[in-house]
Amino acid sequence: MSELLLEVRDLRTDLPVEGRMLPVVRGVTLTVARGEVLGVVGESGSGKSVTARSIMRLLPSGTRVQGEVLLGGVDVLTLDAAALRRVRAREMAMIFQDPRASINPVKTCGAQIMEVLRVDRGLDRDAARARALELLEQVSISDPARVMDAYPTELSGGMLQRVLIAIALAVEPALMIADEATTSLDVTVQADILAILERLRSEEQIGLVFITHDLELAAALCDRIVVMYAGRVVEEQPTAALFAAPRHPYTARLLAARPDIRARQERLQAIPGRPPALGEIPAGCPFHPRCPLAIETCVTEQPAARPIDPEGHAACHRMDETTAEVRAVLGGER
Amino acid sequence: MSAAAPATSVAVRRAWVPRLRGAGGLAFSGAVIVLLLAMAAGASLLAPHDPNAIDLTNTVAGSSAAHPLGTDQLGRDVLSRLIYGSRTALLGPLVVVVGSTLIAVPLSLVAGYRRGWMDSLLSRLWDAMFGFPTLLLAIAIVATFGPGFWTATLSVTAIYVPLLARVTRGAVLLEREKPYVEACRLQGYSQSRIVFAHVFPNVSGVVGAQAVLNFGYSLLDLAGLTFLGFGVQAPTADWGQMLTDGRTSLVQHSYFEVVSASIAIVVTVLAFNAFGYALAERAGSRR
Repeated sequence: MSELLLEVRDLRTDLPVEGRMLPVVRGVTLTVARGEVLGVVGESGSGKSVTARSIMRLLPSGTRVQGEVLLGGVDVLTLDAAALRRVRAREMAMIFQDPRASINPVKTCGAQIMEVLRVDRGLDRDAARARALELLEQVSISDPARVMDAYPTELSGGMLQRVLIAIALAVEPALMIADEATTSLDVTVQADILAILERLRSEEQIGLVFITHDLELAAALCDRIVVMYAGRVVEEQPTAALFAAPRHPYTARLLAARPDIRARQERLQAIPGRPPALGEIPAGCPFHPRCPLAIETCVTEQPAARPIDPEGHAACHRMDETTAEVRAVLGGER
Repeated sequence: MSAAAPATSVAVRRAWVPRLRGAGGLAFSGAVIVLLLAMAAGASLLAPHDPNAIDLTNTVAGSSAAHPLGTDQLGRDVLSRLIYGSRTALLGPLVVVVGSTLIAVPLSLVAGYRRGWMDSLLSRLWDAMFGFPTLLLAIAIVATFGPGFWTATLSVTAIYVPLLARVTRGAVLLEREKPYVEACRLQGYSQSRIVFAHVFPNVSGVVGAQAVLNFGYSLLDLAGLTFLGFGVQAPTADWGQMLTDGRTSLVQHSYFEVVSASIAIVVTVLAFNAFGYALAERAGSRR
């Protein structure tokens, strides 16, 4: 693995909800190297977005964040306001789910890209304009001059997401987080955006955290995938290995729940039950109420992350068993 | 005055508004306003007489070729006074609108974006000011500092600050939660850049519309203050002053002065009202 860019250690984030502090992220550890794409998948409410926002320190006031978020060796969580602004202006960028809401509606796209270049990179007007056109080309916009002068309302969602990626790229970030960045786009546009992100990773050596609930998308882009459940990482493996041999029953069930074009199933293989609500996370393994493999220990004892050979880790009491019962759930060959 | 204006809408005093909507309403009311401004600017050219020329031999006269709207108690030409009266009628509200905007908008932008103690403090201050009946508060201020055009205008400015501040704050509170503001923060922009370069352009439509509406309302307030003797003092030609002067003529069955000044006030207020509404509509439909 190449140079380590982001290292999140035991991140715990509690959000204030109606006067109570609810643990949303409950001990997340993950790493991203330069030029690497890390997928973060999980159901709604599993803590994916809050993890991303904790890394970016983009959380409502009153939120408690513990742990370490080392970006290039610097702990982002301990920065003061001025230092945080500097890091945001130089090193990190984020693209969001709803491009239309994430761009100022009353300024032209060009003005907003140029603003970043002028404010964060100190370019003068002409240089900023030239660079903005370049960035728009880089995100595969065929007529950058027109898009420069367009107001956000004049562009489609896919075009806007490209513009937002261009804005994100303007700071020349080392780390980019894409939070469900393709969810609101139609499939062909999704593919275009993925291709752009893939190019950024390989050409610009940007470290990318790709948050999604779409396993197929994650498989198409990511080197490694982290599976989150109830605010914890339940499994992390290189993409191919995760798909071939999931070691956590939740991952296995997620993979089984995917619709398969070839199989012509009558019904989707849904996971029974629902993810636990915030503040009602069960003791022991948070997945035990829905887990087909749950045993006594799972109810009482929270499983620790254990390494997977050759790479990755999972947190399940029974992941190393080779009984028929476990094999039937986890599938794959062992 | 509405206690808590809904966030993106403007605060309106009365339910009834002229049905001048859309682009037509904007153009029509705009044209009336331009004519009024032209009247104020070209008063010396348009007025047939010196508005202050007294002619005691020809008082409370009816309509004639020389005096189309007759004369007042002192034999002054009512038409000329009406034309000259547009000056204070427009200047007063202009000062009110510009002054209250300059005070209320920057304060509310920053306070509404940052929240915290500054926002709480200002909000309580506005609440306290809303506690007084508006005109009474203005009268109290004038009573303290003495009557006259400027004290009346500045006191009305003071009572319009909380109104505009509330509307601005409401719009800012809505705007600050939008993802693009978050995106700005992620860009590492300074707070002042986010507030003035990003949030402000997004609330300016609503704020501008409210400011224009306030123009009409403050004209009414100023005319009222003048009528009560707190505003523009004799002999300056002013519509509110003409209402005061014209009362005595009413007894002599001469209605020109009161009626013409009233119509002038109503037309001007409605024009600014309709213009403000049309602007608010546009601001609302643009997103």
